[in-house]
Amino acid sequence: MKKHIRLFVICAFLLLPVFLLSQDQTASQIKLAVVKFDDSVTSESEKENCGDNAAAAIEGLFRGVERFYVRDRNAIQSYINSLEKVQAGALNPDAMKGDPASLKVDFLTVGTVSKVDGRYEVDARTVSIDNMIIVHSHGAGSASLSDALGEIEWSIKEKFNRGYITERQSDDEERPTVTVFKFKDFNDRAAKKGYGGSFAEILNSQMGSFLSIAAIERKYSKALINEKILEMAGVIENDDSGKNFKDKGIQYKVEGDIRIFSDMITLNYRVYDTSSNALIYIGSRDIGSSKGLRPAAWSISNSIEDALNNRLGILKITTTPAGAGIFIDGKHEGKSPAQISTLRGMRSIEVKLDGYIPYKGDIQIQSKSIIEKNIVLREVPFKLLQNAMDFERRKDWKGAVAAYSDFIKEYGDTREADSAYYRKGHIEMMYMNAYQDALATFEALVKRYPDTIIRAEGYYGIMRAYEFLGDKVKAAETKNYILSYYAETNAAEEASKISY
Amino acid sequence: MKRILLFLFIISLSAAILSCSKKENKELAEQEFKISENASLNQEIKKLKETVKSVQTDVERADIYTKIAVINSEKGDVNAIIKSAAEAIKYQPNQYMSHYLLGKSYITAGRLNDAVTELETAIGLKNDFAPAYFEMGNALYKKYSYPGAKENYKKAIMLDKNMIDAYNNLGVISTITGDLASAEKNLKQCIALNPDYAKAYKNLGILYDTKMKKNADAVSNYNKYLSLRPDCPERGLVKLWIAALGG
Repeated sequence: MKKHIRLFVICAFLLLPVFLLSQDQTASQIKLAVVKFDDSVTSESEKENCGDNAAAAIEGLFRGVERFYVRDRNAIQSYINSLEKVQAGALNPDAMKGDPASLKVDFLTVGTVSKVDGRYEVDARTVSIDNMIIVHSHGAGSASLSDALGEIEWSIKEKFNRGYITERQSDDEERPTVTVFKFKDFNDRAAKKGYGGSFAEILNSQMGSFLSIAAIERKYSKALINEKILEMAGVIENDDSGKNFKDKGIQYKVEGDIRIFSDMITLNYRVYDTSSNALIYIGSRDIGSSKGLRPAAWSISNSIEDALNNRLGILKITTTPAGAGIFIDGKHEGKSPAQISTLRGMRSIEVKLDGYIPYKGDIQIQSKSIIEKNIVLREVPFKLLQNAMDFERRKDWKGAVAAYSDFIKEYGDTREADSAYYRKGHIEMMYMNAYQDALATFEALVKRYPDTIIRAEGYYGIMRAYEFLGDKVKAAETKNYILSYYAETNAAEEASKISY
Repeated sequence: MKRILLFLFIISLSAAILSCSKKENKELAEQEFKISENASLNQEIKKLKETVKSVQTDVERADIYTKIAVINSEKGDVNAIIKSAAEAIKYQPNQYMSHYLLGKSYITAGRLNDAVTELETAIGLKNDFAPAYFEMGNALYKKYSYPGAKENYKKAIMLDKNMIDAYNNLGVISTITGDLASAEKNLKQCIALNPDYAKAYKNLGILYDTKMKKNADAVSNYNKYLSLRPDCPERGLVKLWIAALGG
């Protein structure tokens, strides 16, 4: 008996390291299942039934690499069936989020095979089963399916390991969550070619390759919007995607459109903040042919990643009173109050409202932060204009011109200064016979590019100044210009009464 | 120790591989971009930008910027449209086309109030310009202001009886608002104007499927849609709808 016990102890002692080592290996293995790749994105790939072949090849690869534990698809068939229904939009997307304990896998590998102009575009993404965040993705395009799969296999073998996953999951809560929603085939040529579905998948894979972004698998996010949406022409359809994504913790959605021309393809993309549905980033990229779809997706994904992590900040502007036009670096960005996504760095802001002195200033925008700015606008001191008018009433023309000049000098960037220019020119011409001065004043007025009515009045002033200066050719030219381009204005009506 | 070394080796190898593939993608992206630079639309924009430097009058400048905005609108490059249309308006404020293009691009940019303002200006300057009413319809649709959108699509159709997109959008809004007879009539009108107008078949399919419960008609329209757009992004979904109707 003692002999048996001794033998058992010796055996146990010898086998212990083997047992511990195997336990360790199992614990560190990446447990996953491979789902049939979706080949229904294009009709050609579906006809060839590429999805099964691609999934089988990737599954075979995983099985051949020790660090992966691959659960047989048959063992979790009911889950896979649910998943396929989710992908097709027939089941609640939450069914995709499995219970790792019962399924005995932590990750799912999903993918797409499409055939675009004779090329196979294959995308494989491994997603965490509990939050649908992509932990590894790779895509490849090639004239042969096996070559495209070969490239993905290479990426899995070389890159996809426990260290890579750990690094990706280390700061999940810090990373912006993004999903690729849809790319509309916008013009007729694009509708015939139908690149939109394939491109969205390619971009999804590219977005999934960043460490600094938590890209949500679009088979999951797409299924959040499975209603039958009626298709509009020339405009993106209203849908609840923003709200649904926000509810599921997806902060940003990417969508866009594809336009195909005889010798070029244009890819337009837009990034929306799902909490406010505000457009935060927009871009456009041209490529020469469909071969450029994947490189373009790489380039676009880099721009989006950079924008979300490094380049964009938010400027929240309120003004008193509200409704002022906001200009950032000279570009009109809407009216106050507004929340505007803008590039980080020093930005020049201008806020304009009729009757108020424009605000001008610089502001430092920092990435990933909200800068709040409240601007109180000061009213234009109409008293100064009133003074000028009083001079006019008293027929003190010199005094009036001086008062208008003072106003222009002080408040030249207000809209009210346009009126000051006009009155000054009018007085110089009609009451002071200073035609050259009047001409200079009216020319300065039109060069300010005021609104149509004042601009037409400015040209009328120029016409009359030329007339008084005896230059009838230029007066006639200006008259024709007014009649051609400002025909609806009073200035045109008045000009038409004068013959040169 | 061995494990640490192996880990470091894998990490450095991954980094090297990643940088190689990035380089390849970058080169390919640049190559494709260079090809596109020679495309006719981009060449046209380039020529116009050169021309604008030498013109003398504001009218000429406005014309050129409007032409640039038109091309950018065709391409859908919203930033570029806003920039060129705003320049055109600066030089020539009463030009309907630039206001129209600006309004249209504001819809895409989500600035719907600004879009309405610009489109109102465009309509004020040229009240028989059907595309401006169409875009006004789109802006109001995006604002969920369906009665206003309908009115504008109708005006667009009144001015241009062949404006197929306006019939489609009117059909869509009529479906949403429950005016099913009008929806069917307008969507069918699209097909009468162009039997290959794919989205009308899809929309008719949804109308028959979800509102009128005419399953056979829904299936035939869905099938027609798929035959016209075999590679549309939602083809898997449409096939599922057909299957659900027993088609």
